[in-house]
Amino acid sequence: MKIIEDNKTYKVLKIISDVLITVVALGVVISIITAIIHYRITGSMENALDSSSGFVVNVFRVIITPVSLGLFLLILFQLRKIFILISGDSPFEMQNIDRVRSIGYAVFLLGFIKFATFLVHLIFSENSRFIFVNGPMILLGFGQLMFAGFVVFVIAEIFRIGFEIYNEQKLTV
Amino acid sequence: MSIIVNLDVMMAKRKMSLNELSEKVGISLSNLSILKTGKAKAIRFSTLEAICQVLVCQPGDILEYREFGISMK
Repeated sequence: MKIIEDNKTYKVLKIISDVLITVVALGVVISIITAIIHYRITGSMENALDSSSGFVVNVFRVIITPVSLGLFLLILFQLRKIFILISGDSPFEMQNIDRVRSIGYAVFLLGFIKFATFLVHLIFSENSRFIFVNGPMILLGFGQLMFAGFVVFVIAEIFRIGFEIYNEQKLTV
Repeated sequence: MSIIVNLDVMMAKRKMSLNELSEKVGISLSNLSILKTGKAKAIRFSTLEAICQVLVCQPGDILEYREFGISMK
């Protein structure tokens, strides 16, 4: 059964998510290449990182940046798949609910990474300037991501209810 | 579910095939099959009316309530 007749919007959204995935993936590749070239030329990563922040903060940054980018890419990929399913015959599939939930978890994780960034800078940073300048904004970002995560979980629940209603409607003769 | 659909019994009594019933009632074969196998979660009054009209029977002839699998009839 065709639920959404006008699926042009979702096709446009799919194209937008494709462009975003390409841009983020290109960003990752370019940053890796830049880091390698920088390392080849200078022989150390010290200049690339903020040496005034201290060792722990720099290690945290090196670990957390690819994790954040990976989570962001995961969100984009899942969104893309959801747009494809929505523009198809039935948006109420169990797979879609799982995808929306995985987006929710990814958004929560991104929020916790923000909070961890704040804590690591607060505890380990040898340069207190960063936390005074960016601290409130990081905490605000953490709050926004938590809020977004909750909204995504509410959407997943709506999808689940929709899935149940759709199944019942399918089995009504 | 305790509600049993006796559509096959009624069809046998009237010597009507699933295809014939589907054509006369105006519902798809797959939907009729869902009803016959007891997978259906609900039945519209309009569908019940059409089936009763074609099979010349009462809703009670098609639907039956059974407790613990023992026939009430």
